Amino acid sequence: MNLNQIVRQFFDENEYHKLADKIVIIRGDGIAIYSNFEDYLEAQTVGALVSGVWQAAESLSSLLNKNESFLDFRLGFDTSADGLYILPFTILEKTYYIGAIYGDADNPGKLKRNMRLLKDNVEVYLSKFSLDPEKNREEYLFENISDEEMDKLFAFGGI
Amino acid sequence: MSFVNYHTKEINCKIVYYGPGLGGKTTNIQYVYQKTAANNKGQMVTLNTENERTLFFDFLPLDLGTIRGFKTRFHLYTVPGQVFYEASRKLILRGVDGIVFVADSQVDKMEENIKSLEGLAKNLTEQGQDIEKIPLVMQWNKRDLPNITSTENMEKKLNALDVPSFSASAINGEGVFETLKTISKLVLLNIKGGLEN
Repeated sequence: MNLNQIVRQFFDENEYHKLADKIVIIRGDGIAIYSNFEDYLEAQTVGALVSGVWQAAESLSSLLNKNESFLDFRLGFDTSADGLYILPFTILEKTYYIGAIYGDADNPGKLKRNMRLLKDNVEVYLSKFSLDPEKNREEYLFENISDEEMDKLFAFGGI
Repeated sequence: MSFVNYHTKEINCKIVYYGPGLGGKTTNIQYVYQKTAANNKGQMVTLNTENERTLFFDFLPLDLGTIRGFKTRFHLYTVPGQVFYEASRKLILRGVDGIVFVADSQVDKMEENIKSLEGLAKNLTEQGQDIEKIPLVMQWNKRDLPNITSTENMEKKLNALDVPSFSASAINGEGVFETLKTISKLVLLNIKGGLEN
């Protein structure tokens, strides 16, 4: 079972996908590995923005000149009822982020607390699994790709 | 770094358009956006200044189809080209799988092209990557304008690595997809992971 499957199973079993209107888990480079969105491409767009806003905030916070880990930070952008909330966590020493986007929340404070608990639970849950992302990493996935294959790939996109 | 999901047979790759300010990076991905079928693209995100210069990045997710059973998805980013956005450029290069260097062909832009390319090499080194090893394609953009440098001179000044290069006029769409196809192929060929038994 790979990381995406494990995370999805974890969310489904616990109905965590209901905690906020939109929840996305992304890698540090912005690629979404889980979302409760119906539209895959929308999830990737949100992933890119979540990653971008976190990275920008991380750079700004370096001005604090403190040696705290960025894993202790959380990022919020909100009014009393609407907003977004981002939390970092690690799996196998790699950083990931949970982003929640919510609107008309009755109790945003509770929602944020739940997101922090979710973050802790994700870390604990995933620590039970032996993920092997480096499997076969020395071999190339494709030894060759023809121009015709590339043409077909792009033709599918309506190009 | 590219992301291969063997269970769902998906490949996600990050391609960054890099180059000097006003060189045509955003125009490249705007053209791709315009020409791609609606169900194969996501929303194009642009984070601009008031005068429509790129402030942080442009982003376009493309869902192109399958190659040998793998769904192939490319995430196209541009960096802000203006000199003072160096910090943003570094951030956007994180996890990059392939780079399109969009050079401005106008004679008076050569110095900016060279500085931008030097900056790219430095920024890659800082994040542990090597410009000589990462998939890279050069695009000589704005070939439709007067007072441009010859492509031979562009090659000589900017393509010491002898990577694939394309003449382009991104505003008219010329060379845009040739460039994208080539970098996409190089990126796919560079993915390590091996096929599962």
